[in-house]
Amino acid sequence: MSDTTTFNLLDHLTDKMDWESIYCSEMPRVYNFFLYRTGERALAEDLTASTFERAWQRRFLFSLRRAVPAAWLFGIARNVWREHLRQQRQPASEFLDDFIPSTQNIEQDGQEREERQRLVELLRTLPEREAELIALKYGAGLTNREIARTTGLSESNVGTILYRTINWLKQKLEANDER
Amino acid sequence: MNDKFLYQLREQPRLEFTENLHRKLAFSRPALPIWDRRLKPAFSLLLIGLMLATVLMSVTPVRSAVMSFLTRVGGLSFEVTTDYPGDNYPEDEEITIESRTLPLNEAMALFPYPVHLPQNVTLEQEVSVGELSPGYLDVFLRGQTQQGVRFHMDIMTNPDTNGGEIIFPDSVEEIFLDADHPAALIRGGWNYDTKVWDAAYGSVRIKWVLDNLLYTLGGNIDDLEVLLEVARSMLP
Repeated sequence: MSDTTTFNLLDHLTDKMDWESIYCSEMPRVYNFFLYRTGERALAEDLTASTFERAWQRRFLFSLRRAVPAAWLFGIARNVWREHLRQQRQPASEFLDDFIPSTQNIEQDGQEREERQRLVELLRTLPEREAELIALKYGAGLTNREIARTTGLSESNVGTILYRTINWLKQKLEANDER
Repeated sequence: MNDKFLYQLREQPRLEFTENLHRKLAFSRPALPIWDRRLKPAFSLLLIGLMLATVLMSVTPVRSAVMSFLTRVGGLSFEVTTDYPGDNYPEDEEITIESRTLPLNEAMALFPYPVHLPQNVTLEQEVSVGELSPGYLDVFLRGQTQQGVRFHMDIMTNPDTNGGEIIFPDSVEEIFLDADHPAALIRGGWNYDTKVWDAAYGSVRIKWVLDNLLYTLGGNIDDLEVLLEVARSMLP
């Protein structure tokens, strides 16, 4: 027996996974998924932390299931979100108020901020399924196939729902611009 | 279709948050203890002891007595053993429980406590009801989730008198359905043909106690996350 082979079976099963790389690649995606769902940085951070803590605690299940890391993680993220909804029973009152202008052009920043705020408000009005698909697609950056694998919907169904939702959002934003 | 406007909310997480969470998860385990040469004599003695124990354990009665122990996981009792439990009961002691089929609502009405059924699933309307002894009810039902995942569920009264399921070592672990509701997750089952525990045999099962009822939710191991969702949907 070598000097370093006394670790337990759990670690042995999961050591094959490069959790460091998974964290680096998937954490920003999970964070953005929650940012699109909540519109709040602090809350998105809390929910991201809950997702990764739970994933880390259950990492041995991942080895056994042989799932794709992203699908597995977003499965957990969706559960964390549902639990959050169940606990809160109401959406956050203020969205993206902590966005800080990133350029020195105050006027432009003000306009961008207004656009973002408007988009967030529109996302709030979406039904749960549509809002989730938008967050998975544009927040997490998942492909339609990955979204289908995560949500259990068919790939074509995901495409159709997204297409309709994007159109609807676009029309609402354009209508707002014309005013 | 131009959907660029939908990317404008995306951003990088704060560096401080990224580093703090990384530290909290502790991906990099501390270095494992290095083998200490001074422990070698003790290790040799332990090895001899283990060899002796192995010889003793080859004697069935000794093995049964030593390898069977009671444990509690997720608030439930389990008897842990490496020995196939079916051999420990003479044939004349085997009891057959008669069951009957009832409509779901009638079966649920028999329980003396509120029954929490899963939400957003389709349950078969005819369920099997057994009565192990007066007032000791066992209802078996089947269902299917919206994703098409099939599951089965057992609801029993008097969870404390369940006696503890007989399982193989390391086949059960504690999980939490939420912060207040621990449960036991069991993988595999006794294979009655080979008379050994088979980790891939049968289904994965989640057991928990709620309102003095013992719930057992079972299904395919590949659908564990969905089963956990079903279990969580039943919490008050």
